[in-house]
Amino acid sequence: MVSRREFLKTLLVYAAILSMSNLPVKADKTVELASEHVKRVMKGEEDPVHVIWIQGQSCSGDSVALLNAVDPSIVDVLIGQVQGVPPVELDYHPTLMPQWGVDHISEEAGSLARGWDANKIIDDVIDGKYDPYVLVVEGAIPNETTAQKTGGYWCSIGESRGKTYLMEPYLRLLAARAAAVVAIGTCASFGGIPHGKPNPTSTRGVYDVLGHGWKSSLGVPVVNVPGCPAGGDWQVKAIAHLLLTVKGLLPVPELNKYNMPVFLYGQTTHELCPRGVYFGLGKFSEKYGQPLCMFSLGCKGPISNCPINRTGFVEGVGRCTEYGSVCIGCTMPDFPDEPYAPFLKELPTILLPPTKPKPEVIKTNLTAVGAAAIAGAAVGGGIAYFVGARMGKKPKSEEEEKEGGE
Amino acid sequence: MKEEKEVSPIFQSVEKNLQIIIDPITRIEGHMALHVVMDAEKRKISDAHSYATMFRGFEIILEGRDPPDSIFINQRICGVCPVPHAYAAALANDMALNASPPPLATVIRDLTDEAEILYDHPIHLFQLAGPDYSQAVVSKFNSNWIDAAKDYTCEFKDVHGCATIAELMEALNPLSGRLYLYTLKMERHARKLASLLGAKHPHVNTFVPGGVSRTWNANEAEETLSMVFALAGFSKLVVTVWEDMCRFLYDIGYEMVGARPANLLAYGTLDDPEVYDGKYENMTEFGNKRLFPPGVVDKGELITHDLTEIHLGVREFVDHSYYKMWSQEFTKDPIGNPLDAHHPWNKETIPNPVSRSWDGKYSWGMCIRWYDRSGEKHVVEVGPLARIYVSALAGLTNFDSPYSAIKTGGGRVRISLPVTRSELLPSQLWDPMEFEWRVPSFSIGGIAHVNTIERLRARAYNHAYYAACALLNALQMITYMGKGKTEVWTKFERPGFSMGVGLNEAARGALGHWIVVKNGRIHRYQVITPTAWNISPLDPDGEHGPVEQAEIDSPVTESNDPSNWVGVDAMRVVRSYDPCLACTVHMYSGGRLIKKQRFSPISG
Ligand code: SF4
Ligand code: SF4
Repeated sequence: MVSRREFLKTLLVYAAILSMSNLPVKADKTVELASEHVKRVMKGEEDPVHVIWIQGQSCSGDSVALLNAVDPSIVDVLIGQVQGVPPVELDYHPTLMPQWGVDHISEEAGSLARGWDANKIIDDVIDGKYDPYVLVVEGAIPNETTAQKTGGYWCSIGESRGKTYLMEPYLRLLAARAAAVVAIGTCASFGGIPHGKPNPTSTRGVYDVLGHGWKSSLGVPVVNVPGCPAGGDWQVKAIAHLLLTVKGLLPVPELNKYNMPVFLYGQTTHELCPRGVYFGLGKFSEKYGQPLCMFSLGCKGPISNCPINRTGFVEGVGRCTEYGSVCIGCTMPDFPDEPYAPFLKELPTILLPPTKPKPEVIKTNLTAVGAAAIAGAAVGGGIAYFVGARMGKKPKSEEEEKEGGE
Repeated sequence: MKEEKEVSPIFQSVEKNLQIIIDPITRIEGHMALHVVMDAEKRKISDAHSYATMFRGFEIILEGRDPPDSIFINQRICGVCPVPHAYAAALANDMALNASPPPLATVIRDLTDEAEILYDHPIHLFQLAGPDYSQAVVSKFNSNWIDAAKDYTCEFKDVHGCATIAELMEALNPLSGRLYLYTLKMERHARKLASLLGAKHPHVNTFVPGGVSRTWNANEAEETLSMVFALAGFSKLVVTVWEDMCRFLYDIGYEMVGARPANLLAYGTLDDPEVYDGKYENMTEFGNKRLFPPGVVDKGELITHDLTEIHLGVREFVDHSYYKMWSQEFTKDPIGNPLDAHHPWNKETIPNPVSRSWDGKYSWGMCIRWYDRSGEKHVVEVGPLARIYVSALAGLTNFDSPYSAIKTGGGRVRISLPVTRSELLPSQLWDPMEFEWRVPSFSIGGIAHVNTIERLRARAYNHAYYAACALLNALQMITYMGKGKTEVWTKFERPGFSMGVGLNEAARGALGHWIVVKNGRIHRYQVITPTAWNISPLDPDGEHGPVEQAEIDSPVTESNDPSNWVGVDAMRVVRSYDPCLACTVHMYSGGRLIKKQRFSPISG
């Protein structure tokens, strides 16, 4: 049974998520919906939402990072910590599931052995036995037609009864019934490292395979949660949001032009960087390890959308530029190519973003706006100064600098 | 792949032989499959082939890039063990780009590496391999163990809190077992430490040629120290749980599962900050000063601990892999030693995908072997067992610091861990403890052997070994800072031509990175991962690789009727190697399409 305290906590969770995502929905209406939902869950009337997690060309780093999440941790979600959130079942996850592939090729297998075959779950998902489900994809999806020309394949996720479960066609099959599709990590979002030039396996991200305008049966576009790997907290929060979307409790999260949720990726590393002030003052580290701005040693923070300097990576610990490493732009579609690579070489100043925020940003995203506008203004001054200094001009006086910022 | 599904004619009797394809192998890193033939009458595995099912083509992506980029890109080979990749790439870069890191940088690198292992071994033992020994799996496939487990009293119940093995098995149950859940939290703590040191984990951002890119101060040093203490306390749990489980497994006669001769190799790891200088000519010296020394073991005997010799003896073969042989580019190493055509500095990856055949080519994994000075071949396995075995025989690691101590030699490793008080640890883990690991007495026909149980046990003791080293390094860190030696980086160059090698240990064994720089850019890059050693296919002489050796003749203990066999023993053997398949194949490229671009004639 749910205690009153747990019940209130549930509502708080919803409230927190709501405030996070700038909803057009009226809060009281959603709370009403949510409390109705909680009642149904408590009566056992609510079906679980299934999560099917598949891995393409991945390094499993996102799965490891997933275990970094806290409040809630992924285990908290799976064991149903917060009452009233739709019950979640993680039915397929290659790194965590107890089952494995069992394919008796010499004789018919018994029912126990067949029931243990991991590939059967995939078949059943495609047959609709796991509806509704959220499909989570980790890793890039190579173009199998290029491999099939020579009779081979790039990436298979299983083999059973004479069938090879190739990643690309199975992604399409699994996406077809999915209530929502989430691409976790830069590989699944944009191709990531395997997509690096010259992209030997013609690989790409989920929404490149399904189509940028693709929408799930529930009308949800592919949601990209990039990062190499994506922080565990970012993953759990993005997935939790979609689970609520699937249950009709939350609308689709606002996405930027790369389908990244704005509540996570609305700002750049640079806008959130505690060393930003040194950038503004034109004080740059000359050696790795120094506490000043890392731009001249290769930092790509100004062109990378990433929340790490706000959220940390494991229980708040871990921040790339604050700690003195350079941002390598690991969340971005062009990672690991130019302009992010070479990672330890300075970004040509011509590639710095415009000094002022664009007006349409102000319209679409209320929470991020204040911060972005302020950061933009502050940074604008910094860049003007900085570009001047780089071109061998004399540093401006303080008054001139202020003008540059406006 | 259809044609491969036919039952091979050598296996005439279907009743006696059961062929199973296990794909996917879950609870490992990456995409791996196993083909096993089990003799139902003899209850033994009669044939086995392990192979990988995914390719990314890292090596091609690296070509022509700025050398330091390899440190960042290569980590992404594996999200489970990124730090050893970052570290090995940094070592190769130090050497190729002429930069000796300051001592504090080496200490920070060592600590980052240790932090990772302190999570990586437990995630294997409790979340990946652990479930195979949990009540959930055992009651399904080895139900006959359950009674024995109820009767078996745990020696260390005061430490881990489980009175019998049956209770321990329950505590290992996925998502509900007490130990399964608790260890997740402590593993996260270790990754938190890795993130503190490396800015984030997986995929740390701080390793650069010549040191680390990390603004380090006393406050962070103190946090490190506190976290290392908590993790050293955690080691006490890891060791005692698996010591009890391993004793039980011997008791029920599981020792023949995964057995093979004790032929092992380790490069060693954790460099001495005062000795390591990144110079190829000093590799023997800094190798011997590593906290885990390098070495090769042949049938239980240590035959060398010279890292230069070990390095020069590494060979790659492609007779049973989807590649073609390359032509030799270099005949000498940078100090004039002869370099074999099959040595990784000479290797060029030339993919040659053909249809799978168990007698011909069947794997994207290369065959890796080690040759001694006399030219004799050794089929060696790598991993935590090799690491601790070598250390026990070499006797080179002996320290007694205020926080921890390790004494090695005579086939023993004695590890002392201090008082570890922490709110993260139950108070049973606070008392100081001392563990001794001994070379296994298990032998067949008078020849020293290793098996699945010993691989598990060694992994647990490695955790304590690394924890003791981390305590030592944390103390060194404080000392350097106290003395004002706070530099963490030295400048590197981008030379016209140079060669570099970085040899160390990932959680799952010996890891090597080789770089050749031309005109300041990456000309060639090769990686040989521990899993590549272990899942090696047949070599040119027709000899099986370590995992295949361990599988073949291994007993089948499943309690169900053969039609319901699922290959749980085969899985336990494979997982005892903690394979990391992303590592193994991802360096290679597949498909003929790219071949054209790759066949440019080699110059210089
Ligand atoms: S350039 Fe990098 S280090 Fe400098 S302020 Fe921006 S994000 Fe921070
Ligand atoms: S700050 Fe840059 S390198 Fe670090 S996680 Fe974010 S995008 Fe990746």
